[in-house]
Amino acid sequence: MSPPALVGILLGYLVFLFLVAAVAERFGDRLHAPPLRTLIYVLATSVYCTAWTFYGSVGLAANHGLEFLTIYLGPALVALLWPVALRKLIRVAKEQRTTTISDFIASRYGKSAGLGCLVAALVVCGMIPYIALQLKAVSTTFRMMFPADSMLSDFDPALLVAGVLGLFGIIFGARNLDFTRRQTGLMTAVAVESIVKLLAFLLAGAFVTWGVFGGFADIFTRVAAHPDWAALLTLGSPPAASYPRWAAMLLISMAAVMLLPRQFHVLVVQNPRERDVVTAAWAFPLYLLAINLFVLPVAFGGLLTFGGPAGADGFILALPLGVGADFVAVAVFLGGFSAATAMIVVDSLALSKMISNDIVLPFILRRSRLAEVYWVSLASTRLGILVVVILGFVWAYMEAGQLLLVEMGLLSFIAVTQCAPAVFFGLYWRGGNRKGAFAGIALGFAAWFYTLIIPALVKEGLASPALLAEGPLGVRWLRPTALLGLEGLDTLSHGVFWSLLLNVGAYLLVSILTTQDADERSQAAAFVGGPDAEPAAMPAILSVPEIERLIHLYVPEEEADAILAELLAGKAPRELTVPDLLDLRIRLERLLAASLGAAAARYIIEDRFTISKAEAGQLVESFQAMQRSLRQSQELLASVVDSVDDCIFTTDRQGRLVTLNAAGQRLLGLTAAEAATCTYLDVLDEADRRRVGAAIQQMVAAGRAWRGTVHALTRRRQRFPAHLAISCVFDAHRQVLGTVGVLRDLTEQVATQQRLIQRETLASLGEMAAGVAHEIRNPLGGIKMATRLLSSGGFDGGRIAHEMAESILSGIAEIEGIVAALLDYARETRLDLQEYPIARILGPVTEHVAGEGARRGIRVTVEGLDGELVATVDGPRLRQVFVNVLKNALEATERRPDPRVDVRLYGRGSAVVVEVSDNGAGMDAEQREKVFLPFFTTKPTGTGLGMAIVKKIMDLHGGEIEIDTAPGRGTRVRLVIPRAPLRAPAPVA
Amino acid sequence: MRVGELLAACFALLTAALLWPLLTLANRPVLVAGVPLLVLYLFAVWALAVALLAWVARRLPDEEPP
Repeated sequence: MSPPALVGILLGYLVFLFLVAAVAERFGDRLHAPPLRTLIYVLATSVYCTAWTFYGSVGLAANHGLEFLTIYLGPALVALLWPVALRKLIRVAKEQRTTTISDFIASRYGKSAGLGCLVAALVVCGMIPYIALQLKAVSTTFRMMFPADSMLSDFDPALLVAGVLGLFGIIFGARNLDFTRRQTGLMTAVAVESIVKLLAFLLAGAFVTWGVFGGFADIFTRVAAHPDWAALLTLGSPPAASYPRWAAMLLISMAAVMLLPRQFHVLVVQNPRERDVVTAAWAFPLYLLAINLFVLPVAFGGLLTFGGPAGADGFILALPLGVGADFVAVAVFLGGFSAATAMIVVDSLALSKMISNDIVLPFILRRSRLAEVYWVSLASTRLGILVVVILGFVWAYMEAGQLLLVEMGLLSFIAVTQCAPAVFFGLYWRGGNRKGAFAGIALGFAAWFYTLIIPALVKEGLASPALLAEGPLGVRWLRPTALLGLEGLDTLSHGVFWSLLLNVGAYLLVSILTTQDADERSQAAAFVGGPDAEPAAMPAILSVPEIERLIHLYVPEEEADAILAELLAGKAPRELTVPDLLDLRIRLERLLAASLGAAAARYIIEDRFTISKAEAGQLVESFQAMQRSLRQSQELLASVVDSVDDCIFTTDRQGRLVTLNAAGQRLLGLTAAEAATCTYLDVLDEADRRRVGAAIQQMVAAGRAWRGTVHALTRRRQRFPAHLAISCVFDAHRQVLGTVGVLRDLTEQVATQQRLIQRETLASLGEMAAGVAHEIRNPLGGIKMATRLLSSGGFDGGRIAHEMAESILSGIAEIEGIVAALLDYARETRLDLQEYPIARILGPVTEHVAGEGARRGIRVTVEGLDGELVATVDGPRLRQVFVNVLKNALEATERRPDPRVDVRLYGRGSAVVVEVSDNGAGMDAEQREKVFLPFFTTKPTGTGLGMAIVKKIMDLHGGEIEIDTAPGRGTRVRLVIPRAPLRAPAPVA
Repeated sequence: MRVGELLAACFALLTAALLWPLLTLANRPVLVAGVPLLVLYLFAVWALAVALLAWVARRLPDEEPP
């Protein structure tokens, strides 16, 4: 392989990466559809596999056997918790719009800028070696590709690669400040790199296993037979890992797979949809399994070929190169290169965000108020990427090469594991507080540095070995690898044990022993879930113009309007209420947090727009006044409720009484305690409970009201009539909270009504009696006179005596007639209903009346008799109705000028109308009122029962009588007869 | 199906399977079909976790939780 060709391939690959990202940005929409989107997510998550996996795993396997597997077994195990725990972490991170692990921790513990700064600084320190490791891998493998004496042997591509990748990160990652947005180009490029590295490793592995050797069995059998290397196939005896080291590595890789800056960025921040985590939970471990299949064969194949573990990191490249398989070697080089570049790009991006948001920005904000924070922040993020990459390069350049790639990576893993207690306790335990997190993380990192970095520095030759052997200043119990004299553990498990013990211990103890402030409480509630904490102090409310100004300050011009529209959600600024504005402020803060981090966003909003002291005083005062008046109106309401005479009660959703006012307790004979055991149905008597109980429950369930008259029941089981009105009470979300009911005692009202009815009945009875007496008195007078005459004697058998007797008889007959009519009226009448054409009943009657009228000089006209109006009626009785009405009309018109009576028959809706109009004397209002009373009459003759009988028969038919009349203007009577009578279904013609 | 509890239990069990003392059961210098027993065991636990998660993923509802 000629060096220029390799440089060409390397540059070509970088161009390819840019193209992939650019094309993905261009066609981003298609990549957001479910299968592709999820695939990209899973593959991008595999950014976990870096050059360390590619070269370091083989090196570790050749040196220590199976322990490299822990780095992948840990994630595979912890993935079992992803569908629940990681999903929660993602949900919370998205809600809070956090973009880095330091931002997440700062946000959880009360948006603390100090904590964010601490975590960011420590994580960046922990990660730089990791980036260095990638660059080192690139330059080492580059040199391995061609003989040492070639013209490019002094060329180190690391700086070039670092610069190009920094540029890539700036273009596709830090395009704008909001890292919660889809970075489609970047993610797609990383996903493609995951495919490249997997294919390259599988190709190389298969080539070594079957091309160079005779399959798995061949390699393993030969290693198992080797006296030095057989121990690599088991655990527990050197050089293989001890059980504590094995467990420690499992633990740190579990934490690292979620908390490494690049993992948090890809897995959490760039997660397209929560549900995709469930897919990633099995697909990602499967990817890890696939990429690890050939690690052991390659490592052992290298041992067998090269005779020892020297240069084991490069086995995967050296093996194909050794047999002249240039194609495989180039593929491996590209695979390793893609693994390194993906890691560098994503890690530098995430780290630069931490540096910018958690270190630079709070510092800038405190120093001065920059109008253009957005651009400063964007510049610092972009510059941060370059700084991180260059720092990595410098580290790689300085590092003498004593440490294996894997050792460097493991130190980074343990560093980031120090965040795990604060993150995961913070997600599930509300009690964790800022001071605890601060203490835990600070102590954990201190222990990490002391027990792990110092031994590494010693190994590098940067510190005296005496430090490890004798302890600092000869204090033996402070030896970094045997703290407090704890021996028997290797350096790594010793460091993991102490750092995590101190970290968790301090976190828990300090959290328990100190208190949270309001900010911490509300963020703890938001992260852990459960009831909201009580609001902190009165939060500052921003006016819409202020919000507008803020957005324009922190968001690029072209996006500001869209964001403002999203924030206002279609409401005009003037429509916003105070709660709306509060909500707006929270959402604005989150929006800014996505770009600037939680701490800076809080700082900007609080600092810039918190009201002045005087204003705050006024606000508090008016708030107190509001509360006072609220309390007063509450008291007022309570006294009103208690002073009314009606029973007022409230119930819960199940209908159980919650409150019952004093009147209610009196009325129902219940004490407040007894009321609590009742439902609103218990105050009804049994019959009503059956009758309306279900209806009430239905209405309440439907959130509606019910009202009606019922019989209520007191505790002593006394019934009383009452009016019940029940309506539902809703909360702000229109959920039924319960009901409020008013039960009004109707006992008095009903009694009054009955007295009234009684009085009216008595009155009409009296009038009727008077009428009857009056009617009977006339003939009685005649009888009395005749009888007296007869009794005076002197008429024996003469004509006069006969006349007297006749007169008595006629008087008696008259009385009999009155009595008969009265009996007829009073008797219970049953109708004999049949279908009649009304004209056939009305015809003969009008004919007879017209004859009678003609004799008296009254003109009678008839109209509508030719129609076919049929009704179900009692013919003979209806005939009597017509006769009575017409006779009245005739009598009313007698002795009037130009007397006339008009009869009309017509249909009206479902009724037949017989209209009789006369131009007679008419009636005044008083007469009109009494017209249907028995024995009421305006005429000198007649019994006064005619219209009463008309009324009674019409009532029996379910008909109505309409009378228009005025004195001197005649009378119009309309008899409205239903075609089908009430309660008697009859076929309608 | 209470997925959360099930997965937590499986996490505990499989993690225990990969730690002392359970791990000592597979930690023998034995080759099975030419492959070390311990290697087979580790990859089997690994594949089991993948299979379990794939099985759960198919059963979990597709919609976002409220």
